[in-house]
Amino acid sequence: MTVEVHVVTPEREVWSGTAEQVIARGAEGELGILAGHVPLLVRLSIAPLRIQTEGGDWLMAVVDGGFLHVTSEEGRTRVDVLAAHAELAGEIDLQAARIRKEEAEVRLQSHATRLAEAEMASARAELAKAVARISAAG
Amino acid sequence: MGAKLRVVRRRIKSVQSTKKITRAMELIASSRIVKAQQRVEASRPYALQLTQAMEDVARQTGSVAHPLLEEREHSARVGVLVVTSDRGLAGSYNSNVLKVGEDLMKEVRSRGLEPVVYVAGKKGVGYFRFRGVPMRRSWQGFSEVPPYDKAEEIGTALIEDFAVHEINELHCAYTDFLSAFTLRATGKRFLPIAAHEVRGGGARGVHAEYLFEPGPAQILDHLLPQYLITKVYAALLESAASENAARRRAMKAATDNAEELIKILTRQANRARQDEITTEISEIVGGAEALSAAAEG
Repeated sequence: MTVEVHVVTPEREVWSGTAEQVIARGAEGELGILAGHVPLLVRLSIAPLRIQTEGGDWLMAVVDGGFLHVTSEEGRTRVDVLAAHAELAGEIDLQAARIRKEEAEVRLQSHATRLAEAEMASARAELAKAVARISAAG
Repeated sequence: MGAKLRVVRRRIKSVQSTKKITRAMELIASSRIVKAQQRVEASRPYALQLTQAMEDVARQTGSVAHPLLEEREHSARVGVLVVTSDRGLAGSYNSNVLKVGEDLMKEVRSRGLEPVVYVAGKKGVGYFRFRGVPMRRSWQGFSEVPPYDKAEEIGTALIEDFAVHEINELHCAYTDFLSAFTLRATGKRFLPIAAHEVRGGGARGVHAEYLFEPGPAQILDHLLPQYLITKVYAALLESAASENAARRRAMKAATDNAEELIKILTRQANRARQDEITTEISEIVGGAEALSAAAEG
């Protein structure tokens, strides 16, 4: 039994195909989706996304939040991952991610006391995106 | 060479170089239409899936309530977002969409309310600035290839203004790309999001075991802004495709006109050249006759 997986962003379809299982990090913890899962709608964290393809290989990707939607129609399970940005491990620019991480860290440390709440949140999100990319690519 | 011939030849040359430019712009616009269409296509799966997720929430929870869905009874200020291009040379593209924008504003005023203007694209900014219409926010520099990040920025700003009651409704004037030959400037209401959009037409049954994580209300909190951003993104993409289609059409007309003009000018040049030759021949013949008359005499 396999699931039909679509990873889409507003700009493109990042990946689609059939898979054994999908592992993602939701707002309330890790979750794995296998065929026959009940319908589900989860808000995702900025984190790596793992897809086990039919051959058993693991495909790594990264999502900047978004949603994971599980539906089933006539016994077939379908998983849609919707994110503003998503990249496959092979597409990640590791160098750029490292620079991004450092910049976000500098922003957080040097201005921690003076930054407004919104700026802190955006710096933290930047950091999370960079860290997720590094761990997905590594 | 006679003066007239020289003048006409100079004009031909100038029209020819104009034609080269308009022809190049026509070709560039044609290839960009294709790319813009592909971007519109590429954005569809995401929009479709997002709508389905939203419909699922609505179906599973029965009734949905959210500030973005709320029809406000006391709305004093109404936002109007006008999507224009950064560059001109696109025929009536900008004036059409600006007219729709003006119509929306007129309609708002006729209800006794105050329009609040938001503008995307340099041409729209110039238009409203020239007329002294204050703009609440404006964005420019991406009209031909709008990135999703810009749609996110615009959408977030609009939602913020809506949340603090700076605006109580939002309408958008943009150009729908129906086909390469049919562009339609339209006005649509974006906020509040209409209840029928959320509920959808699908008749899938309620699933007893449906899970939401976190709860449906919190999910909706993230889904609905995302939905608005997607609509803004779609409006930007449709407008970008339309802009290029309009530019291609305008540049094709300009190229055709240049060709026509070159034809007319070439005829004029030929006539001037013919006249010059005739004059020369008659001068030579006249001179020869005068010489032979002198020799005989």
